Amino acid sequence: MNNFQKLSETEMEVMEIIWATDHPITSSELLEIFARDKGRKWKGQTMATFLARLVEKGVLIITGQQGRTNIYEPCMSLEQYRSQEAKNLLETLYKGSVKNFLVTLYDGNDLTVEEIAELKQWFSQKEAKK
Amino acid sequence: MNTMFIAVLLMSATGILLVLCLALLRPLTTKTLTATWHYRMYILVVLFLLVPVGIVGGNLFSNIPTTTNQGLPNVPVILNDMITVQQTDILPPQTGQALPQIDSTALMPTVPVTTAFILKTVLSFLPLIWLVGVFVFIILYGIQFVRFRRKLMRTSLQIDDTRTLLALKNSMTEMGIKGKLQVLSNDIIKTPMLVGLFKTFLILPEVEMSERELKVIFKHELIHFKRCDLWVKSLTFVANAIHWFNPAAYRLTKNIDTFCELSCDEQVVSDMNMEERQFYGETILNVLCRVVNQHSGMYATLAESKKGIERRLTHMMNVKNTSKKIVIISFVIAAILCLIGFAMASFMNTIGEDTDLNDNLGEYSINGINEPNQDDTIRDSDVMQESTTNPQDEKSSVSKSNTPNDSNIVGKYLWPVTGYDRVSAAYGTRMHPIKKEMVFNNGIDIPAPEGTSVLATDKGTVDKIGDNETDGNYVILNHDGGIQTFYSKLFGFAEGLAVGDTVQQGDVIGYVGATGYATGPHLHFGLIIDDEYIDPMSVFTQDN
Repeated sequence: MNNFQKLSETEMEVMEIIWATDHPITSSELLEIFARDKGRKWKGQTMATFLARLVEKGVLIITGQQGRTNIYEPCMSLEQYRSQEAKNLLETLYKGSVKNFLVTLYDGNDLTVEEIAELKQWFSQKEAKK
Repeated sequence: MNTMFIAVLLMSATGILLVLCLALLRPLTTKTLTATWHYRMYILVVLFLLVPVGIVGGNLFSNIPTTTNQGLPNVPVILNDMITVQQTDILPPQTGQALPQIDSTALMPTVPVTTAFILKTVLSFLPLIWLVGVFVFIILYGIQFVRFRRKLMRTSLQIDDTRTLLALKNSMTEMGIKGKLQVLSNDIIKTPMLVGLFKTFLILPEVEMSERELKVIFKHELIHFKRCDLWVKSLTFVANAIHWFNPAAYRLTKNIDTFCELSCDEQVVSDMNMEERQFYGETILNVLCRVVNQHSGMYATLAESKKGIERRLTHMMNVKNTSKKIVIISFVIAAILCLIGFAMASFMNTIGEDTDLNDNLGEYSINGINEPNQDDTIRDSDVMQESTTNPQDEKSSVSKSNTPNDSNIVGKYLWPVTGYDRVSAAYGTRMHPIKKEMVFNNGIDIPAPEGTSVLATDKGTVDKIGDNETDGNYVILNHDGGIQTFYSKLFGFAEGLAVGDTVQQGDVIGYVGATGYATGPHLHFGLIIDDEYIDPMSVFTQDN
């Protein structure tokens, strides 16, 4: 958790495609998709670098090799990533305190009455489940 | 390896001294002298740690004929002397002992398990420990560095942005830099850094930077590039590895890093006005507003702790043009420190005795050779002869009527090599520093230039003239009372000297050489009483 690093915009883009395709993927496949769907012609080296970065950040993992090219797979789902991202945000901004976070929202008048009701209900459900 | 180790120890000592000097001078020098001066001074210290100047200096200043390998310092001898097991004092003839110490048990190379002996064994392991330490240091830091560098290169992007590339090109032309520098961007670093000794890359963090900020950042990094600061850091790393045991080395590395940055700032702002300098400072802060990269030790970076930042900013705002007076002061201090370093290194090289390390080992093996000749040619009547030159064909026997006893010996013996009264190896048992065994020197070694006359220490007759592998050319003289003197390693014999000749005290019997097992010219002199070798120094007193 300490090593959590937020993904940049471009990195997010790449990951979204990877999450969308449901199988292990190679660099060339990605390049193809990018060119086809997004109209972006990336250089092979650039793609390789981005994939390497994603591996460094612990989101992707190399699961095999196709000759000399690597095969990548995500090692967490989008939800897991979002969860980590949120927790990290809480850590950095509110020293890990949910209360402080909510206080900011509430005192800042960002929470509507409906939203508060929604929150209350959600909490009581969680309580009941325990 | 032992000689290397000793050279390293010497350099380390010099290094500590220099670092201390600079540290003491700091309160004064930081006020008057530039950071560039300090940076250069520390580079000088690194050089002193890498180049054994003392050996050169030691040879230059030493006027004593050396018998060791290449005038390398004789620290092992010093160490040996300090904790030698059985040894009579090494005293020049001037301060000889009144009573001879004839201890026949001293002739046996005993190996007592005293603390001194244990200490010696431990000492002999030190060079090995040092070498291991060097490797451990290199491996530890090396692995760290290699891993980080790999990660860095893997995750760095080539910069295609023409604006950036053009700005770099302009800065380089402006500063007159010819070499190749590739610029990359990376999102894991928080400050710009320079990487690569041979193929250098400038890596920028992946953040937005204004054109003005870029220009300033380029200027800073390009100065690092131009000054070859990466090479300086690499050399410092090597020096630190070699001197891993020396705390001053770590201190030095830190100082080098500090003054590398400070002096770089100095050069960047040297032609800037106050407003530009302020902007530069702000740029540093902005770029530094990130987490410090742990591995910044190996790279030229802008990164530093808060205190460091403050120091950089204040210093940079205060950079002035140096006056002529200050230039002179800086040169003087630099020269003085150079001299101190050189002198200290040379001094340490010349103190401590020269020794025939190999010699001692060789001499150990000649125990059987000097059987006292019982021919009685010396034990007969004593006939004083007028001439003191070579007793060419005098076959007449000379002897003394006095019975042998100590009091007759004392005060009578003439030092066999006039003008060279240093003893490089004393009589007795010692631990051979290189061979790592107990060796027994059955006499004393007197270094002197080849060809120096060797005199008979007392009246006597020539018992034997010969040569063998270990002793080289040797002469044995018989004196009264079962006493013999032994002279070996001779270059040659006195012309016409023959067995049976009578010699007077002071007659030339041969010439100093380096025959047999010897590493340099010297006289190996032995004293035998009743078939046992005793310490020759016991018979040389103040008069001689």
